[in-house]
Amino acid sequence: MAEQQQSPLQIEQQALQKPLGLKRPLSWFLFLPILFAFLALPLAAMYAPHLFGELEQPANSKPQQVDAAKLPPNAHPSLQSNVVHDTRNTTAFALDSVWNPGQLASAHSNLEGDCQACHAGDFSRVKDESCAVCHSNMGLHVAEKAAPETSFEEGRCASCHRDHKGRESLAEQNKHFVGADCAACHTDIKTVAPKTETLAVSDFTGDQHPAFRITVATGPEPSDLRRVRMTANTPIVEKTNLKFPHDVHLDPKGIDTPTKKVVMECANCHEPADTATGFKTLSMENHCQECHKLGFEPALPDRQVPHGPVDAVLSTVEEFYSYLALHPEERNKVNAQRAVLRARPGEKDPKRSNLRNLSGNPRAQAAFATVELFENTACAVCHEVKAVKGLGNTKTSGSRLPQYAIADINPTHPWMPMAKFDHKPHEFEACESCHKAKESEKASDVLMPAIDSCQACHAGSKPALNKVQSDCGVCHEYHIHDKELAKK
Amino acid sequence: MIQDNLFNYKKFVFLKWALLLTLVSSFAYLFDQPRINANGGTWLGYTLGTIGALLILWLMWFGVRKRQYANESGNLRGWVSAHIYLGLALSVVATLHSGFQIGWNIHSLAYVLTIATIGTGVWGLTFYLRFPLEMSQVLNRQSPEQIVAQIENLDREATKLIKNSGDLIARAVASSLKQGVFNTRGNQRTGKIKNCATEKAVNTLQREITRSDSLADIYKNQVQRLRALKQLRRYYYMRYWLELWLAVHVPLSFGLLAALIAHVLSVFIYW
Repeated sequence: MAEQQQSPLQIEQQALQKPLGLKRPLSWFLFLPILFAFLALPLAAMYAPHLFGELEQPANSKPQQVDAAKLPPNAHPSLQSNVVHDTRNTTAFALDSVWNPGQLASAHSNLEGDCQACHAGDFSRVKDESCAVCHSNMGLHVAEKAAPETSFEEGRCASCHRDHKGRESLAEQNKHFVGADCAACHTDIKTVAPKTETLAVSDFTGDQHPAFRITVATGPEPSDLRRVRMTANTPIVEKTNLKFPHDVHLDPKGIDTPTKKVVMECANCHEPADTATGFKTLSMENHCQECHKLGFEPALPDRQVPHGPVDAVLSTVEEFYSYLALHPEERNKVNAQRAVLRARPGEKDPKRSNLRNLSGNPRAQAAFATVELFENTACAVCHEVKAVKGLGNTKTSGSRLPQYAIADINPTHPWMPMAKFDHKPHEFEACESCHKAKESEKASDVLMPAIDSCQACHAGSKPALNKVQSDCGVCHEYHIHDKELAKK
Repeated sequence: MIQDNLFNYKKFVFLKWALLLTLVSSFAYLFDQPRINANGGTWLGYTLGTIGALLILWLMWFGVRKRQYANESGNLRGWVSAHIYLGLALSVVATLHSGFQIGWNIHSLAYVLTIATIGTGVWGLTFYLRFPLEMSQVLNRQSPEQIVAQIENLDREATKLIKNSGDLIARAVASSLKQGVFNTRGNQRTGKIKNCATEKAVNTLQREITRSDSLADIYKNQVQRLRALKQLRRYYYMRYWLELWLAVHVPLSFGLLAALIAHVLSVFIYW
């Protein structure tokens, strides 16, 4: 053949003329391993994990639930999580994590090797049920799903809470963008929810936000609450059954105490704390009694009745005077002291001139002291006191003394339970700049600031000079955890 | 230039399309305000992703189309022009689709392979701009086979011419006759070879020719042989690179195809 007659040069030229022949093998060399590692292997690990051998059971396969008592007082509802059962599939060796497009939020980072915790893996979008496995207590926006289902971003949890966007928490991420989206419905809320009491809101600036609604108590039960909208010239009042003039206590010249004049500050009584109201609960013992002593015998000012049930008070008084009747030497000491206190000639102090030596019927003495205590010197100073006819608790020694009923104090409660207000970041402001306590004469005054007080520093979602840019999420929570409130 | 080339085909029609696509995508990206951040999962992200995926498939179809000599849908030069411009536009579309996010995952692998494929395309284009014209010039209207035949004629002539030559010349020419185009396959990469026997023979003859005029014919013969070898070397050097870049470009595009399939499927399996 001609082949054998070819010169080496011809053979070399023919070899050079041949194509390199690398395209096809190299193409397969890249195509197949990539398809295998990034598609075939994850799919096999998802749908047939048994092919990869027996997998270890997760360590916490027993259901776990956080004990309510171990939760902090203001625990976010998401912490009060559900029992989690590990019955679903997991992918062998987390081979599907090559599909992970980005870091999960910090709270979810433990799920980074477990895609099927959220993704069903059947071409469906992440379902709310997957979120609710853990976040069962997360309230909806209103009683029913609020976001319209017609938009591209239908109203799922994941419409707003998009994970794989880095370690920042999903709630933090949402603060960046909630503003515009709230206004989308709330600017014209009546068309979305015709029955709602909520007024239209488009932003926080100017008159785009209605006046605040204050939750006030209407009775002594914790559920006796009503929301009242603030209006310009009518101050909101709330029945407290307590007499407390803030103006007297905050007198800049000071207020008399048993020892000296003291200029009081708000924080003397209102101590910040991690509670629903943001402050520690006030108590007679800790906050009032240093000045408002419950003495009933003028000669022994340190001898006090307990700040407690009426029958306990009456028994103390009854037993005190009975004791004196049986012990003349003690009675003489009291009488001696009374003589010292008695008004000198020319002095016209009726309290003092009434002081006579104790003698005769101890019950009459006790009854006199009771009337003084309840109606003049102690109880009625702060409480709504009503005289009641008849016998008292017959199991107690004071049952025959004059009887009184003390109106229950309405329990403290947050006036804006839905608002996310933290006093801590506002501590550089004087209390007085929002709460006009120095002008308040009655305990029934609700000293909540109106919206213009907030607007002095807070702008809306658009930046404004010398103001804090504030979108809805600064004060409002999207989820309404209280199911009763969510209905409204 | 009067004639259409790869770039100005039909008055840059595909450049215009590519620019339009780039501008529309960029403006859409700039004016879109996604709810959290830009990514492939917004409506714009899905749109750009779909455009990008279709572009990739269409660009890869060029490899099929260029073999279909009977196919008359558009002419091949138009296809090349479109392949270049729309391929470049794909880099913008793919980057915007990614939302400038990158990580160690299949999605970024697909992106990196896209950019690498486009990069090797640009690299190959630099060869295509210079080599085809030079290749036809260097062969001077001959085929490589004709040049080889020409060398063989020269060699037969040289064998006769050196019969009466001295030992030095005879040895130099004899080894020159064994000199092929390249000594090793690796020489093709540079297009040059060290220790070319023909070049040495030419140098030897150049020194010796001053002493003896009878060497003029063999000298001329060896100079022509060297020129012919250099033609072939330059030709096959260019041919090598024209093929080699494709041997990178095409496999990368197939790697990209695999990554694209895995990317699209995984995104929707775990939607």
